[in-house]
Amino acid sequence: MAMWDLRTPSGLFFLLLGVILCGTAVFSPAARAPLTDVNVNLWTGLVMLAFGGLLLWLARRA
Amino acid sequence: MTLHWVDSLILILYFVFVLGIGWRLKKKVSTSEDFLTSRRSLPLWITSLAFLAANLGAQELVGMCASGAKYGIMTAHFYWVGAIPAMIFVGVFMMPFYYGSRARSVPEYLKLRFDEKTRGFNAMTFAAMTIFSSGISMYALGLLFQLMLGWSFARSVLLSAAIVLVYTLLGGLTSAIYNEVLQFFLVVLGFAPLAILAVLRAGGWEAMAARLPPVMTHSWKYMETASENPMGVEVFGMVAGLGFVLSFGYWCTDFLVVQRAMAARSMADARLTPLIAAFPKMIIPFIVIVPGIAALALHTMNIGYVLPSKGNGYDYDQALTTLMAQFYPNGMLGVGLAGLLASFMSGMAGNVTAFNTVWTYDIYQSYIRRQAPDSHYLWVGRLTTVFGIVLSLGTAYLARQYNNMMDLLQLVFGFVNAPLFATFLLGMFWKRATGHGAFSGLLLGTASAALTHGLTVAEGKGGWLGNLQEFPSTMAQNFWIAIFAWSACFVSTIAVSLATRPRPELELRGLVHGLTEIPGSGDVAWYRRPGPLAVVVGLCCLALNAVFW
Repeated sequence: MAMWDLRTPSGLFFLLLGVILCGTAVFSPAARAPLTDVNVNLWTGLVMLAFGGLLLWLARRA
Repeated sequence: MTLHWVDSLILILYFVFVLGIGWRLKKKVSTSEDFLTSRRSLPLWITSLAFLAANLGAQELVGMCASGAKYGIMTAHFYWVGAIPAMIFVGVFMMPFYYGSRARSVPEYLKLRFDEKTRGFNAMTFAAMTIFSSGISMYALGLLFQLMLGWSFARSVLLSAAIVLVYTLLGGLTSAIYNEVLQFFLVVLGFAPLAILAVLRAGGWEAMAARLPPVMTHSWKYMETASENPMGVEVFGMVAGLGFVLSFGYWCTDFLVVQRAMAARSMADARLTPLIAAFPKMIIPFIVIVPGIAALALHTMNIGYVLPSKGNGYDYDQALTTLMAQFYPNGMLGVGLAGLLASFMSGMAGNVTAFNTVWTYDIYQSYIRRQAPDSHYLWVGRLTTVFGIVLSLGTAYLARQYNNMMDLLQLVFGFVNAPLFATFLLGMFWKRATGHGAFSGLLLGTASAALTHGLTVAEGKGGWLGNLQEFPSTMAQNFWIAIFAWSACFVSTIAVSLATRPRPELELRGLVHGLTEIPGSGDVAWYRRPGPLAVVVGLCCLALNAVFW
C-alpha cells in the first residue's frame, strides 16, 4: 500500500457523523423539519453508522 | 434558516478531517511529482470517484436542482447524453495516449504530439480558466452562505480559501483527490435523503408526475422541435452540440478531470477510471435533479412549501436551499451544509491543483526556468498553490464588483474550449496532423465560435455583428456555437496539415493511434477490461433513457 488508506479516516468520519445524528435524534426526538414527519436524523444517522462501519471493515480486511 | 450547535459541530468535524487528511499526507510529499501528479500511485476506486467528484461542484448541485425545477428530467441529458458517451470514449480510446505518452499534463501531451505553440496556447488559456472558475466558485459560495445563513461574504470566502490552501499545500494533488472522494460520499449521503423525502411528500413519483406538465417527467418525448420543451433545444442540437462537441471537449481534454485518471497506478486502471466513474455518474441526476422537480410539484400543492419568486418567474437557484430548510431538522441540516461547503472547496481545490501542474510544468519549467533541480520545482509548485488561491480570491471579489465582466470571460473561454476536441481527435487518430495544422485549427475554431455568437441572437445575447439567426434559448445558441467551432477547427486542421510537412513517424510513437502499442488486458476478468465494461455502461445508460423516455 503505497499511500495511506483513505477508507480509515472516511470510515471514522461517517461513524462519528452517525453517532452525532443518532444522538441528536435520541436526545431531542421532537426536533422535526416543517414538512416531514420522518425522524430524518435517526434514519440518516443509522445509514451513516452502517456506511462508516463498512468502510472501516473494508480497510481492516485489506 | 438558523444553525444549532449540532450543525456547527458537524461542520467543525468535517474541517478537522479535511485538514487531518492533508496533515497525514504531508510526509508522502518529497518530490515535485508527488505534489503535482501523485506519482501515478492511487488505487482505482479513488481515482474513479475523484474523476466524478472533481466535476460535482456546489454550483452543479445548486444549478442542477434549479434546472430540474425549470426544465424537468430533461436536465438529465447533461449526464446521460452530455457525459456518459464521452467518459466511455476517453477511457477506451484516449487514455492509452495520455497515460502511455508519460506526459504529466494535457498541454504537455500537445507539446509531445504537436509543437510548442499549440501547448503554449492550451496551457495559457487553461491556466487562466482554472483561476477564473475557482474564483467564480468562491463567489458563488459567498453569495449562497450570505443568503442562507447571513454569513458575511468575506467570512465564508476567506474561511474556505484558507482551508483549501492548507490541505492542498500539505498534501498536493493527493490531498485534493482524497478530499474529493470524501466530498462525494458526503454529497450522496447528504442529498439523497432530500430527494427521497421530497418525492415522498409529493406523493411518490407517479403522483408527482401527475401534478406537473408531462414535459417535466419525460426526457426525449418533447424534443422533436425546440418549441415543445422549455429548454428550447431540438434533438440534433442536443446530441451534436452537447452530446458530441461540448461533452467530449470537456471530459476528454479538460486537464482538471483527465488529471484524476492520470494519477492511477497503471495504464489499465487509468482506462478503467472514467468507466467505473460512469456508473455513479448515471445515478447522480436522481440526487441532484429530482429534488428540483419535486420542488415544483410541492409548490403547486399548497402545503407550506413555496418556491421563491424573482421578477415574473421563480428564483430556481433557491430550490435546493429552500427544500433543505423544509425537510432537514438541525443535525441533518449541518450534514447538508457540510456537503455544500465540501463541494465548493473541492471545486476550488480541483482547479487549483490543475493550475499548479500546468503552471509549474508547462509554463514555468518550459518558458521561465528549464534546468533546475527537482526540489526547486516542488518549491515552485507549493508557491503556485498560494499564488493560485490568492488570484482566485481576487477573482471572486472582482466577480462581485463586475458581474458582466465575468459573463464576458466565461463566454470567451467557451469560445476557446469549443474546438479543442477536434484537435485531440485528429492528433490521436490521424498521424498526418501537424503542429501548424493544430494551431491554426484552434485559432480558426475559436474565431468561428466568436463569429457565430456575433451573428446570432438568443434571449437578447449575442448578435453584435448582425442577426442572421434567432435561437429560442441561450442553451441552443451555445450548442450551435460549439458545433460551428468544432467543424471549423476540424476542417482547417486537416487542410493546413495536408499543406505542411508531416512529422516523421518515429517521433510519433506512443502518441498516435496505429503507432502505439496498447498493452492487452491479459487474463483479467471481463469487468476489469475496458471494452466489455464500456458495453455494460452504454447499455445501462440506454436503459435509463428508455425508462424516462
